[in-house]
Formats: sequence, C-alpha cells, structure tokens
Amino acid sequence: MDGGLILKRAYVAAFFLFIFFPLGVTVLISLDPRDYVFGLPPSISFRWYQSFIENDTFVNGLTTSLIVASISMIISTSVGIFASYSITRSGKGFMKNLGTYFLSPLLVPTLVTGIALLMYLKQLGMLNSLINLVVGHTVITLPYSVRVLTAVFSTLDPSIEEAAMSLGASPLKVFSKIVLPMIRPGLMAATIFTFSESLNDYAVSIFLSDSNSYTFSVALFSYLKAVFDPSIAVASVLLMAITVVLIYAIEKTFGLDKVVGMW
Amino acid sequence: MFIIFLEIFNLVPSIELLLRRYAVYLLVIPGGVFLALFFLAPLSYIFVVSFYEYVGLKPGYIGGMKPGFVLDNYIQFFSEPVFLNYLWITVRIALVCMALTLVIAYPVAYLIARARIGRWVLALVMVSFLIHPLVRVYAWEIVLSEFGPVNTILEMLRLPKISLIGTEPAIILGLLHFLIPYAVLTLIGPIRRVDPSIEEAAMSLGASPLTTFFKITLPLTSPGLVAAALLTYSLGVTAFVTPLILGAGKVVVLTMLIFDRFTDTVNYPFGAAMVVILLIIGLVAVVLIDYLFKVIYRRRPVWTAG
Amino acid sequence: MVEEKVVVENVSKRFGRTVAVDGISFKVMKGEFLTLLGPSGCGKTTTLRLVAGFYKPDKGNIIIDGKVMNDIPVYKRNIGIVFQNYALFPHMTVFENVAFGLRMRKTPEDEVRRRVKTMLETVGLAGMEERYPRQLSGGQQQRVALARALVIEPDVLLLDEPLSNLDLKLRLQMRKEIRRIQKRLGITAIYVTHDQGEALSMSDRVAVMNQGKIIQIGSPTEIYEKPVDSFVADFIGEANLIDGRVEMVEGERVGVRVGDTLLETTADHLRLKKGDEVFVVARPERIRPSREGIEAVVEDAEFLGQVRRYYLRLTGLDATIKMDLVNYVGEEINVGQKIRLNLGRFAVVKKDGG
Repeated sequence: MDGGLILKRAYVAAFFLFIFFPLGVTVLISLDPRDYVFGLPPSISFRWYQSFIENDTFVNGLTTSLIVASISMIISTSVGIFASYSITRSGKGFMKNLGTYFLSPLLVPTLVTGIALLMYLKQLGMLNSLINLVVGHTVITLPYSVRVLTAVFSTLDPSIEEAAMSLGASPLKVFSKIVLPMIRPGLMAATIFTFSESLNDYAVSIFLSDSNSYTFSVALFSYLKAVFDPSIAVASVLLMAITVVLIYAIEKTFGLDKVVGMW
Repeated sequence: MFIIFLEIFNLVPSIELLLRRYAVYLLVIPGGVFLALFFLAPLSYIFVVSFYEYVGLKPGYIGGMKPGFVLDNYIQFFSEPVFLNYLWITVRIALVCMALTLVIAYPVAYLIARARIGRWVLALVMVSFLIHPLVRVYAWEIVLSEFGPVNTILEMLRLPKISLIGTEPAIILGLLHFLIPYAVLTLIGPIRRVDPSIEEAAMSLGASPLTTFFKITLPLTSPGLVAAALLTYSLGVTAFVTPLILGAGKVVVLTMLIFDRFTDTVNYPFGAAMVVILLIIGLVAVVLIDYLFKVIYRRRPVWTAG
Repeated sequence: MVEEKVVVENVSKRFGRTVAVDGISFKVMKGEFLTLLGPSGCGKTTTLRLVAGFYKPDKGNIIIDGKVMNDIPVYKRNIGIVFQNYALFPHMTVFENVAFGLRMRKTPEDEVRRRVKTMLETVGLAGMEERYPRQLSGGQQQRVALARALVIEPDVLLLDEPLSNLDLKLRLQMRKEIRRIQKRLGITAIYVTHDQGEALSMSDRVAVMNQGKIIQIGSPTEIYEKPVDSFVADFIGEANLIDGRVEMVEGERVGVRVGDTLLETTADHLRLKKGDEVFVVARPERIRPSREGIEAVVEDAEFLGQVRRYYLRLTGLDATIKMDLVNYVGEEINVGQKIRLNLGRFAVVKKDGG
C-alpha cells in the first residue's frame, strides 16, 4: 500500500511538472535581461516589463480586450439570466430543448464561429471591428453564462418565489428582491466565466480584429508569429496572474467544486 | 365597427393576463434571437458559401466569391493528394492526442474525485485549464527551442540535442498541455458518480484492485470517457495556433490551410468548403468513437442516465 | 351572521390529460379551520394553489370575501401561505423575512417594526430577529414561516402540509401551537394534509378528497362516526370493513345481518333500503370481547405498547378483523381460542357503486 502511495504522489508530481514547467520557464524568461534563451538567467531584470508597458500594440490590445470582455460579459450575463430563468422555470419539453440551443455555440470550434462571423458580417456591411468583436465574444460567452445560471436556477426552490408572491411581491419585485440576491454567487461565477472566456479567445478575435481594434490575443499572436521578444513572456506572466486571480475569485464566490464540468 | 372596437377593448384584460402568464417564456427571446442572427445564420452561411464559385479577387466580390452552386471547391480538395495528406496529418495528430490525453488524465481525475488532496489538485488543474492558449504555445516554443531548457538538460546529461520545433511530437506535446485539463474536468463528474461502495463490494467478492478497475470502475465511467474522448478529439482536429507555432510551417494541418484562405491567399469559397470538411471529420469521428465504446462496453444501460 | 370567507364553486383544473381537481365546491366560514385531507395525488394541494392564485381554474369560481378572484394574480390577493418546506428567504434575517410582506404593502417603517415584533412574540420567537434561517431549527423556521404569513393579516391563511418535515414530537406540539394562534387571531385557515391525525385534531371541519373530488365534508366527529363510503371509513382512523346486508329499515333504525347475527344501528344519511349490500365499519378500539354477539377465532396477537391487538377470524365469514384492547382486565385471550364480540358503536356504508 505504501508503494502505491509513493506511486500516486510521483504521478501527480510528474503531471504537474509537465503542466507547470513550461509556465515556470516563461516566468524566468520574463525576468532574464538577455534577449535570447540560454540556460538560467544570469541576473534578474525588469527590462522586458519596461518594454512591455512601452509597447503600444500590447497596451492597445489589452485596452480593447478589457473593453470587449467587459461589454460581452455584461450582455452575456444579463441576457443569460433571463434565458436561464425562463428555461428552468417553464420546465416544458420545448423549453428544455431551448437549453441545448443556447449551448450550441460550444459544439462548434471557435475558429469556425470566427470565420462564419467574418464572412457574414462583411456581407451585412458591418465593418466596425469593435462592435464585431463584441458580437463575436457574446456568441462564444453566452453559452457559458447560460450553463452556469441554469445550474444555479435549478437549485433554487420555486416555492420561495411563490412565498414572496403570496406576500404581495409582483413578478418584478420577486426577481429583484428575492431571485437576484439569492443567485448572487452564481452570477459572480457566470461573470468570471464569461470574462475569462472572452479574454482567452484568440480564434474569433483574429478574424474580427483590424488595425483599429484588436484584442490582446491578436497582439500576442502577431508577435508570436513574427519575432522572438521576451516582452511576450511578460504578457504571458500578466495573463497567468489574471488567471490565478479569476480562479481565486471563483473559489471564493461560488466554489471551484461546483463549476467542474461546466466548462 | 363600434362593436368590433368594443370587442377589442374587452380583450385587453385577457391580453394582460396572457402576457403575465407567458412572460416567463418571453424572457428567452433576446438571447434566442441574438444566437439565431449571429450564430446560426453565419454558420449556415458557411455551408452556402462552400458551394459558391471562386472568381478571383475583384472589386465587388467579397473574398472572391460569386453566388452559385458548384462543387468545384470540394472537388479541388479531394482531387489533390496534398490536401488529402494534410487531412490525414490533422486526424492523426488529433487521434494520438486523444489517446494520450485519456491515459494521462484519467488517473488525475480519479485522484481529484476520490483522494483527500483532490481539492488542491483540482485548483491547480483549473489554473492550467484557464491559462491562455497562446501563453502555453509560447512557453512550449521556448522549452523546446534549440537552446531551451530541454536541450540544456540533455547537454548536461551529455546526451545529443534534439530539435523538436517543426515536428509532429512538438505539436502533440503542446496539444496535450492544452487538452489534458479539459479531459480531467470532464472525467471528474462521472467518476464521482460511481459509488465507492460498488468498488468495495467487488473487492470483497475477491476482485483485485486492478480487476476492480477494469471490470467495474472503467465500464461505469465509460460515458464520461466517451465524452472526454470526443471533446479532446474535436479540440485536436480544430486546434490552430499550436500547430501553427510549434509546427513552424513544416507541419501543415487543415486549420492552417483554412486560416490562410481567409487571411493571406483569400479564397472564401474554398476556405468555407474546408471548414465544412473540418466539421464533418469531427462528426464522423464522433459517431465512430461513440459506436466503438458502445461495442466495447455494450453501453446504454441505466447508468448512462446519471 | 357567519360570513362566508372563501367559496370554491364547482372548480375544475386539469394538467394536460390528468384532471387534478374535478368540479369541487366548498365554503369556508370566517374564522373557520378547514382541512383538505386525502392521499397524495388526490388534488388537495392543487385546490390550495387554486385558492392561492398560483393556478387559474379551468372551470368554476374562486370567491374570497364575495369577490371572484379567478383573474387576480397571487400578489394582488391578500393571502398568507405556509409552505411545506417553509420557503424562507435564505438571504434575509428573521426580521426581514417577516417584514417582507409589509414592505411590499409600503407600510410605514415604525408600524412594520411594531407589527413584526408583536407577531414574533405571538409565535414565540422574540429575540431571534437578527438570525438567518439557516441558524434556526426546523421548528423555529416553521414559526418564522407562520409569522411571515400572518403578519400581513391575510384574508385567509393557507397551509400546505406544514408539519411534514418535523419530527413526531415537534409535530404534535406545533399542531396545538398553530391551532392556538389561528383561534387567537380569529383567522380563516385552509390546511392541507395527508395525516388524518392532524386533520381530526386541528380542524373545525374536514374535507376528505380522493381522485380530484371531495368525498365528504364535515366535522371531525361526523367524518369519523358517519363516513359516507368505504374510502372515507378506511382512510380515517383504523377500520374493519365487514360485509353485511340490510334486513330491516324502520325510520332511522337499520338492521344489518352479518353472518348469522343481526346488528342494529342508526344510519339516517344513507337512505338505505332492505336488501342493500353494505359494509359494517367497526373501529378496532371499540370492539370488546362479550358473552354474546359475532363469533370469532383468535388468529394472532400483537403487543403494541399501550395497546394489545388481536386478529380475529369471523366464523362463517371470509374476513379477519382487528381488535385493539387498552387496559384490558377481563379474562385472558389466547391464540386459537373461540370468543364472541361486541362491535361497539359502528357505522354502515354502502358498497361502492351501490
């Protein structure tokens, strides 16, 4: 049995070495003063952090990303609240199928969604890349918010809403005074989900960006293809930090355990 | 005339009643319409465009496409061996990744579902899951580069250096890093649903831990395995940035060809046809894998409901 | 004059193909405690929800205080509901829970405070104002739910199996408690339960329901003593149903032959005629060993604490009946022994379809 335990631990260790070693190397590169890769950094320097901040492409991309992620997050969660509430509360056959309909963008690779939107929006003459990015990101984030929120709503006891109604609360009051406060943790999780999904997207962004508006992912992508520049490592470290913060936020508000299987 | 007016007036309260009664159904409309307009319609449009004619880049023809119904694009793809070869490479990489991912991910998912340290392992898996895909690719590009840590270590051990960038193994490594967390998270639920006392019962009846695993745990979690397999396969087939960067242009997969037709050598109809082919090879495999698992475990009994 | 507070008039409700409530009518007087009693699926909860306004009747009218309420939504009726699972608002304190209904009615804040305080005292929860529902025991949550429903001074209080989540001891205590508060406030109440003990001990009147219909409505004693059919007889209390035939009808007096014995009773409400096939409803606790009467053989005996229960096979009849003896001091009764029985006060019901 002891041997089994050692084997287990060794397996986990090897697994996480595989997962986190490359990321650790990236952190080291970001602190390496040299502009090439060779062994351990001789000293620690924030030179690349400096050049990252001074890089207009990165800063513009990050700004656009934050704007796009915030707007699509707001649209996805608010539209998602209504849709999920409706799906879980009506509970009839047709409405149950609507649940699948709302999740359908998950079945299609985002690359395909991006291409489809590129052609479609061009054909419609929608050429504002910022709007197009928001539309695209809403399409890919809406299923996540619907998935989280239907799960949340289905744990709510409908008789609580009925109780509120019997006490004189109109449907609108029931929603604002009872339902919304009760789903607050789930709502937090949904916003975090959609935000991080928007931030992590590159496939839709690549097709919908232009020189006016491009996301952080697109900026990163263009650098990745072109040159070896350790400021990409700095960008990576920034994104990793954001990820850790988001995970922490999910754990604090909703519990990581509950979101397993929702992605 | 006046009577009709009165009738309508009489209807008003019942309309209000109707609205109140069906208000909950109306709430799906904004999201439903949005997805119809900006997801279903564009997706259908791709199918339509895949049958359009390519007339070259001329003013008035977006993406060089001219409405029509021709099979040229599909014929072109399937008549040229080079495209078929790319298709095969795409599928091959996805299949290898799928198999390796399942083997590596299952024990981790099992540990998260059953062991006490599961919580921490889960948090770390989640972190790795949400790391930006481009960040991973960049990390692997460095790790596998000519003077990167892998070669540094090999040198210290006085072993010959390897240059993986631009090879299939590099792409597979990068994809594994991306796919394993997906598979782990998909498998946790199904494993959790297996009541540990069922395994204990098997062992009490004389089954060794290994037999218990293959005869009890694995079959009971097979729906989850199928789900994880389908997910990793389809993510593998449609992966784009990992093959692009780690393949360094020396290994070409379908998504890269598609990307090219919509960005550099613009040809929307041919690109759309390849998108349809990409979706189909995803689907074909989905059906095949599903069938395979059904045969192996004679699936579809009650536990699949869980 | 006694006011009619709630009138349910020939109301039907169907869901898809199932008829949940099938043309029922009843009245609840001001200050009355009416219980809808029946097995699960009999339509009692649907009836309650129709009165509450969660459903709209397909046919018939729901009238409260003389006004037809069919098209009035729940939140515009003035109704207090206590739910089976209490349905407390988990994100609000006890005070906020109870104050919710008053706030919805835009009651001035000082009045809200005063009324919530009084109500919490009434239900015995003074000092618990700042707790959250999850910090309360089941019984306390129940009291909050009651206070929340009562503080708005509803026209009618509806209770949907409110005691079914409590343990036995608390359940017995809350029966008395709910009844005490209801009487003190003089509130009209409709109570839904499948527990006949609750129904009999709490109610002014009981409506026994089955398959979407009201079978019998009356005071607990009436229902117990004079069931209208074998369903009611069997559902309320323990009952032995023994085959018999009417042999004599003289005014109220009825003679029923069971085996070779002729039993006499009064049955004014059944309009029996000579030759009717009936069941004799004999309550186990009223049967006594006797010198004369129906002959039976003791088949089995059980010790149930206070009670000793005997299973008796009636001679000449294909029936086994139960007899419960409490503090029995007569001759010892052994298995296999032949005894004669006095059925005590019994009722007669027509056989179904008769």
